[in-house]
Amino acid sequence: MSCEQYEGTLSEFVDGTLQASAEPAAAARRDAVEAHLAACPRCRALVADLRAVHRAARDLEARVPPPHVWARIAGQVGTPGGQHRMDGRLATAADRGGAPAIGRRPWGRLTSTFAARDLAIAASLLFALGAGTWFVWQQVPPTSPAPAATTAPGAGSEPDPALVQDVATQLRLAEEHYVKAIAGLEAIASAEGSTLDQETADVLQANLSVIDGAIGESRAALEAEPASTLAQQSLFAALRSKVTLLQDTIALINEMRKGNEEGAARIVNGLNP
Amino acid sequence: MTRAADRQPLTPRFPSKTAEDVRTADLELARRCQNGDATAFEELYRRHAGRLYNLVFRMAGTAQEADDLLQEVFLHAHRKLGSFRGDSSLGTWLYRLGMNHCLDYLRGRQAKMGRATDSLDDEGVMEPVAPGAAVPTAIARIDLERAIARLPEGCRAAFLLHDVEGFEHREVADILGVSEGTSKSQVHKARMKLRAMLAT
Repeated sequence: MSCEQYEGTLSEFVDGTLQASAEPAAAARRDAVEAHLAACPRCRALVADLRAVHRAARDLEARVPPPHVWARIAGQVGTPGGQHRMDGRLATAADRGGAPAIGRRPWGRLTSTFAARDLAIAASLLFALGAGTWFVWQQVPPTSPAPAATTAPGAGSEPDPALVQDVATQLRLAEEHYVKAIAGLEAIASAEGSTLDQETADVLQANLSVIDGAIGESRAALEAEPASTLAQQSLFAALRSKVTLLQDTIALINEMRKGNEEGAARIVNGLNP
Repeated sequence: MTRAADRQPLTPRFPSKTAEDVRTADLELARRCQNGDATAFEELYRRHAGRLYNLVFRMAGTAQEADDLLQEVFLHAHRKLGSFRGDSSLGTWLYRLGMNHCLDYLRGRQAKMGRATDSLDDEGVMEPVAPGAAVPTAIARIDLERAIARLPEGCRAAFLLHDVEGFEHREVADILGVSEGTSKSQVHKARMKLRAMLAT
């Protein structure tokens, strides 16, 4: 038999379902595939490649729906999570396994002595970050609204070098806003660190680390391909994830300070238009 | 980092629970949602929003679209829960509704751009792999994400459900409304295309 006749079976071989099946027909196919692989380096290489793809796909990180999504849904269907209750709880490692962050966390230990001044600083930092990111976002050529719809690299017209340079400049400006905002928020968090319980602090740090990793990878991809719309969008998406996390953190802080659930819900919804 | 291998199966395999027990529990949860039980719909969201978000994020490509799609899917589910009859698990019903909504959205988006859309039966063009080229043993996350984003929608959906989220082919087939054989061929097609894109 030729390689082409085995190709359709190789994915089943990679999945292990061919080997696991007790059906005689499957056993016969497995024996035939194994015999072919023993003699065919091309198909062995193909199996190795398919395994690498499968392994990498399995190891892709899980994304977490931001809390404001549930807040909006709950607000529209009338469950207590929306108009009447706003948890704003950060995702835990367990949540990342499939359940989003909407648990009922007791806020007693989180009650903070945050002053209005701190919140004003945090809000202004987020405003500066959001404005900077928004400004750059407007500069991205609207050639492709999403990575899913992008064409192959090199397809279509070449981007305008001046525009690419302008976007790169604006990107640097946005990152400066971003760094300043993070530094300011970290200063506030450090000053008020004792008001956060360790579990919350750990979850926040873990989420930030994941996002920082994505930002780093995106930035490296953009450096390798400065004109890549997809790389730009990937970086912006990662930055936006961090903005969203900070917004949720601010909402959390607000709830800690006021103990006002409706006010917290309004602020979260306002920060995530 | 949570991996697909760590994620829960679509239909929980409780040793002490039969399929009928699961079906009964699903119907009860759907009934509670319909009756306005404040906690029931949140329970449904807690069970399934994470996986659905992964899917719509990688199908749509941006966080903004994923946020909106997830919201729309659950609001649509809330309106349609009365049509749930327990023929499949509530999870399968929800993922099917979610993937249909997502594919409709993507096709609408592409139609606005004047581009042709593929379908689950579209075989597409299989890119050749250069002689001697191979997929790196350790594929960078961003490279794989970018390659997945370039897959045709049909095989991307099957690939995400099977290889990323860890659903079995019979579950993928149920969610996408195709045969198990089609699910297998779509996943294989996606892997071959990814191989072609990632081989260096």
